Amino acid sequence: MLKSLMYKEWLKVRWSYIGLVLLNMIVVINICISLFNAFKFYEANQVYDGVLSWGYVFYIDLMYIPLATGILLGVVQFFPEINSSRLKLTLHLPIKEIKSLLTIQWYGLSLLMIIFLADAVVISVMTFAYFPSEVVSSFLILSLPWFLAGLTAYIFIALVSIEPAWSRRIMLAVVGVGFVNLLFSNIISMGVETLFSKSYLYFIVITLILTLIILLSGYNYKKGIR
Amino acid sequence: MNEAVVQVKSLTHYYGSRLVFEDFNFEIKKGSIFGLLGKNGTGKTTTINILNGFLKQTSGQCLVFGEDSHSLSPQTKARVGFLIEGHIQYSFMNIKQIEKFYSAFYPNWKKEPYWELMSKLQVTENQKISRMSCGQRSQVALGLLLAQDPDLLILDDYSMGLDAGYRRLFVDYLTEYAKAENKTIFITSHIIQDLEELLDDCVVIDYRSVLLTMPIKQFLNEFKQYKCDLVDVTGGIKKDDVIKNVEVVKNKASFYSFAEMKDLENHLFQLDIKHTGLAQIKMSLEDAFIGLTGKY
Repeated sequence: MLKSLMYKEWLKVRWSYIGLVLLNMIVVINICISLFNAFKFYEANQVYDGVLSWGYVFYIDLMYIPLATGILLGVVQFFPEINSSRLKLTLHLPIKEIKSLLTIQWYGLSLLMIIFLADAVVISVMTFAYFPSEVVSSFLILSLPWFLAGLTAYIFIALVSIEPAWSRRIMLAVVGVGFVNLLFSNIISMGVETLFSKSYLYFIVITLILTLIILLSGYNYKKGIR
Repeated sequence: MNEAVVQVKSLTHYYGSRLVFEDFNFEIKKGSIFGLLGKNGTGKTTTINILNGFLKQTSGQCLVFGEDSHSLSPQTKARVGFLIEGHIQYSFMNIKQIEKFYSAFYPNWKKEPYWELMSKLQVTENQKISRMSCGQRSQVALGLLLAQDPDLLILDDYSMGLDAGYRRLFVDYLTEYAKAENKTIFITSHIIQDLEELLDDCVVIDYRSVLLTMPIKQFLNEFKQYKCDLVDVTGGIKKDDVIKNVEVVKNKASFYSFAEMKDLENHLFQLDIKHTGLAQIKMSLEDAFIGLTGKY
């Protein structure tokens, strides 16, 4: 049954998902080409100096891509469920509502993580080919909040979609925007390899906890609490 | 035969401070086709949402196959087919994908009735539901319900958006299905005339109250319309225990009542309503429904 539920989700998002994969591929390839060109047109010492001494973030184009990916996948996956109360069809299936809601959400999160992991692996491998491992570490530390922002945005889109009460929808949207903003503002204000690298574990834990709030929104939807 | 599939006990619901209905009671017997009739905004969809566990009532209880409607087990859900108002389905699927999707959830899945209906639509297996007409979508929804083979079908305004042909097709299939398989159907529709041949029992609701609950044949036999010419039209005629509804246009009056003609005649005499030519008029279910609930 869960497999069938995932089949439904795939049918719903597949074309958009392929589009999001292409978007991420284009951005990552562009970053690779830019770095390749940097080494081609400048002396290697100059590039190292720019990255290591001056803190030039050559993968900065990636920054808001995971966020956009998370938002778009959330919209594509959850808006059809809410449109014309289609979620009732899903909740009426002979399966526990908790299972169906978590399956739908985790399926979407898994699709996102596949894209994000691919982004991170490609950029890490390319970085490792040109730079010492410390640069790869700083890339992972710096980009982790970007990927978390993508996952968090997706989760909040799901929550805002399923929540039936407009007052709580607005509240969730405000909290979501605040949380995502926090993920970006920390890295912007503190820069690479700061205390933030120690605190991102908390953000991961909070993101994981957020995935459970869908059950509360699902409960409200089911009871018609407005 | 007397086993109650659905039991609604003392159901009361408010939206905020607005009362929808109060102390609503009815039972749906196994194998019967039960109609919930009411004008727009009287609480038909609210009742269906409560029955399916999609709305928590203010007070009272709804049992489906003996289970509280808000905590139905997956096994019980598998026995209940649900048609959402407007024949809503997963429109991003095509007719083959949606059959494959649902078949995994229901142990008694029978694909034959679904594909029989699809063959009549003359659409390909790759036809996306979003590109179908409202009538075609209704057949997809009906086919899926029949393939699910549920013991109880809950249909929220199956007639919405359908032309006469598709409505007739829907009713014909439902009648055949219910009678042949001894299934139970709970149905609402805003087109009352289609239900006359279909329903066994009905409950008629009005704003905030239940007007009657009885077998449809009994309703049609016992509820009567009488017409007459009023001699004096200056005094108003009020509803009471005998006169359930009255319409007066110039000096022509229509009385709706459960009383026999001689009892109504006596009642009018006691009320000093002078009239001539009192006669009973044959009514359809739609006439009786409007007679009972009024035109407004």
